[in-house]
Amino acid sequence: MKPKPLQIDYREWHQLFKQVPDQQVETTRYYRQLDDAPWSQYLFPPSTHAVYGNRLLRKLHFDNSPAALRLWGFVLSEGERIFRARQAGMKIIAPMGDLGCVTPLIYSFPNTIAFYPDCLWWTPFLMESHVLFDDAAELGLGEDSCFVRAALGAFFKQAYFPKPDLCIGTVGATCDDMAAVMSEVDRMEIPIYYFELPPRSDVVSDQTRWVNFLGVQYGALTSRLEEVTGAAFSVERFRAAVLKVNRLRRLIAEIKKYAASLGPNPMGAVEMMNVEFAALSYYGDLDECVEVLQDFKDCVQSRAAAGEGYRGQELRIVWVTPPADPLLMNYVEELGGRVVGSEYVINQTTPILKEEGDPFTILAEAQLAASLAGSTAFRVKLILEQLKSAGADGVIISGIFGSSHCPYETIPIVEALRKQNVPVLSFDVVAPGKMRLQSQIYNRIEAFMESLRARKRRHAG
Amino acid sequence: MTAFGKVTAGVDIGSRTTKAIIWDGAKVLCRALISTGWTPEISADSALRQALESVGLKKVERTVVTGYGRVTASFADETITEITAHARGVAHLLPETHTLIDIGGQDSKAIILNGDGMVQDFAMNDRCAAGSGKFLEFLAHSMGLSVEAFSQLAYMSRSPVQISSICTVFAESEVLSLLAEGVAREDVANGVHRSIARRVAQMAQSLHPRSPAAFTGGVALNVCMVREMSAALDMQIQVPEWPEFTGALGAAIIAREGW
Amino acid sequence: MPAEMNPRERWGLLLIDELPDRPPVYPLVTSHAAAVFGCDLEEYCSSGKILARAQLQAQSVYKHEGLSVFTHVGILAEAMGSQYHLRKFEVPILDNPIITDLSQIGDLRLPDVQKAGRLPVYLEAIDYLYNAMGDVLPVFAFIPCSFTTAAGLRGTEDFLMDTIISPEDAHRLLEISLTAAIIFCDECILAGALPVLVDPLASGSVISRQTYLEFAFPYQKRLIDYLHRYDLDITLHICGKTMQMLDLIPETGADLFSFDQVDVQTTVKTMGDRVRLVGNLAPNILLASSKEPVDQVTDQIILHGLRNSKGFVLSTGCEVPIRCEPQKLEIVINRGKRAAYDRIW
Repeated sequence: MKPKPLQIDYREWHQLFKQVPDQQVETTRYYRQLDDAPWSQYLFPPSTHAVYGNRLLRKLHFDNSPAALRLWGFVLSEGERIFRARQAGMKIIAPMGDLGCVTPLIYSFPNTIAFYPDCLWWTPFLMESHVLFDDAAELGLGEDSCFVRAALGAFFKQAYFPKPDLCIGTVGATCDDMAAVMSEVDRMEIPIYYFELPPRSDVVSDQTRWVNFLGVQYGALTSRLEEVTGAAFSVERFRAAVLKVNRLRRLIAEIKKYAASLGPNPMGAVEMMNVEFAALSYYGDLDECVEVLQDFKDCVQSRAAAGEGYRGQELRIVWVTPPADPLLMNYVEELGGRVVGSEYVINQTTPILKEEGDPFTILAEAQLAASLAGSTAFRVKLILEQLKSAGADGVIISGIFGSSHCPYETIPIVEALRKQNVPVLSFDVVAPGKMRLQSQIYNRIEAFMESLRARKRRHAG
Repeated sequence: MTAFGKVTAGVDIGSRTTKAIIWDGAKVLCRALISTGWTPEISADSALRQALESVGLKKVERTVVTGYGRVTASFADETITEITAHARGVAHLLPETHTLIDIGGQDSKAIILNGDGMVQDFAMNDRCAAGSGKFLEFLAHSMGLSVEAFSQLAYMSRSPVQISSICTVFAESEVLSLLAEGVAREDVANGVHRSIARRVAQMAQSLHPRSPAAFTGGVALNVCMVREMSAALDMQIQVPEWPEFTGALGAAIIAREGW
Repeated sequence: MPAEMNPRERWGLLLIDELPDRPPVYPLVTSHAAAVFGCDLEEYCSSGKILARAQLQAQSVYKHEGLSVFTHVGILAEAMGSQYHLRKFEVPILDNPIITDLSQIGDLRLPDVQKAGRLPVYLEAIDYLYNAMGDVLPVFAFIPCSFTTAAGLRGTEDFLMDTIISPEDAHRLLEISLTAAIIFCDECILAGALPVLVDPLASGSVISRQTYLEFAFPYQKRLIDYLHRYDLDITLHICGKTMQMLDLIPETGADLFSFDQVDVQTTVKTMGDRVRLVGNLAPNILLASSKEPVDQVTDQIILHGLRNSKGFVLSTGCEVPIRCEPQKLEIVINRGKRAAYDRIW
């Protein structure tokens, strides 16, 4: 089954799924170390997940490749997977706000997995529901805080993921609203260990100091993980995890390169975002995550080599700050655009980790490459680099009303980009269910795309 | 082709009124304006038909539709946003324009043009009524005046009061209490205009506006608003003839000339 | 202590072998919703919007934990040409089956799911309910299995005779009924509902174990297999007496079994480690005329049902009667909501 690249809806995937060979459905499983546990299949179409309440899936567009189906199936099954992990006796660690820094360490422990509660922020959008926001509001986090507050509702309910064996909270240069979630989680008698991230400033001049500082913290965290998992830290296992994480990071980098290819667009923006977010916690299964990404990379690579991709997406966009609402990316594609680059504030997940040396130093050095650890100017630099390398026509920044991190930065980023004569559109993502506001965002995106198209035609003319 | 040559139409389906223009590449052959009402698709059809009938045409080469109700127009050959339409319209009417302010019934926009009729940047306020024609209309009615009379009254003022509420409902009670305190009606009316102008100007400031500036949309017919807008932006503002038709004109031009 | 869950969350946990805060309480409120809403069954079965609004109204009154889209068991047979007679205060009945002569089987056509019979009513209702409450309440679409549809195409008595006299023809009818069920299930899923497969004519009250094994079971299983390929959790509902085929039910692959006139303890013992159970308050207890103490009967069901290791949903054995006494249903629901896994009284 190798259809021509298209973006299709959940209805079309439901029909196309009939053509996926039974054997492929049967053998696509997570937690393979458990020898085909009966619940471990995940190659199912979006319609399945829509029935269970993910209502946005009825509006989204999906890539029509089996590799994309696998990616979606893997991402959407994460909630169940974490529960199954618990049932299978694994230890569950929930790092929050670290943006993928400590995860390689977690996966160095046997029978231990990580998941990323912050990512629950898209659940209300997927479900088109205020339930988790209402729960968070009941605990004091209302509309004036970022959509990550959904994670608090989920901790409160314990219906979206089980109670973790350990949460790793982050202090310092972390998202303030997520910090508020953490402090509430602390009150729920869920064990939480605090990890301090470096302050938000240019750190290059002071690298050694911060490497030492982080190294000490990684050491302390390791002791805590040893207590929780009952297993001693092993350098061999750490190196094995690093090799896997590096493979995953290389795959993400390669896939991202294909997103910026000069030929037709070989993948959807939301799929690309799902790929990039895999770097945070590997969706709870590092081994399988690597295979999912390998499959996806092979797919987009072969499309790029054959010059295949979607038609009619000639406007090239760099997306800044991930949109909790993936439908916004579909809008851009619908209006003739494609996302060729992104700056999702998760750059600390991108460096290839050193495969030799002191484990804690390896992690600390990689962490310092984070844009969260850098200044706004550093983020602008990253955006401009991508804009240039991907030959992009403009930048879209999707802010979050109420968030204490991204929106504050949006204005200086917009200013800096305008100074460079870069077309930029910024807006705040609208909470689920507000159709009128959503249509206004659509109008803005449409106007922006028109202006880019006119500019491009004039330049060509 | 007709006796007029290649003729195109532009229709702007706004929240309050629907405008249609017939364009032959050099001049506007006809304009039609009707209330949008509850059925934008019917209004758009009527406006276009009215315009065509007045010049004795049955159809045009192409029709481009803009405005918030554009998606409802089944007869459109193409739809474009109001941003693009107003930019193109004003670039034809006042080619030097760098900064364009458009205040419509439901929203307001600031658009920066690159001197070539192209949109370089834009900002919109489409979230609340403050800063739109609706706000003005609501407060005019709460003072028992038509919008035109409200505008003329406001123009007479020499010492406008400050209206601090931006929410329509709160602004109304503020207006009523100012009147109860005995503040002159013209000063209150001017205060309302100033409050809108400042809001729009604040939005425009983020785009670093430069002269020359133009003002389009139905609210640009309001002399007091033009004066206040000019003051708030601290620059002279030109208003094209028939400012409420600027979007429809832009659509008609794009229908003929493309992007 | 986790916060109180909503029905969607509760069902979600149950279906992945987790313990929710308490079992879902899901009496089969179908035609009774019309009575709550104040419409008759003709209206209820003829408009998706009315059906949906009635469901929402009933749910807002009883606060039970699932929305049910169901008109009558002949929904597919009707869409394929059989004539059903709608009645204002009774469920629709079969007037004229489409197959009066077995030679007509070859002329049978699959229904156009968007247009035929009452199928659009289902789809409109599902879509409405899913959009209105789908984030917090699961929407269930009741879809007849092959045996019941075949009986609707042929007339029950004639079809039962066919199984003896002309079994090949019976199988031909069952095959096309299966395909119809599959394509309609697909549409219901796409509209937002989880199929609940109903096979009342395959009840032990109607057919023997042998007939069930030969003519009902294989088609139930194939339909469930088809839906399992999509990873959907499927409830099989068979009303009446199912004691004689109880051991076969898990073999159909059903994830949940909604049972009626079988003892809870026996059912738990027979299949409780393999299938989640949904049951089984006798609907007639909910009638005003019934003298049975509804609270005690409910408590007994909960007491034994909660011991089912695969999970339990408090429900009724069949549809809540249209003339159900609301106070009695409220008692059932309230008793269910007091139940908890660690609080078996």
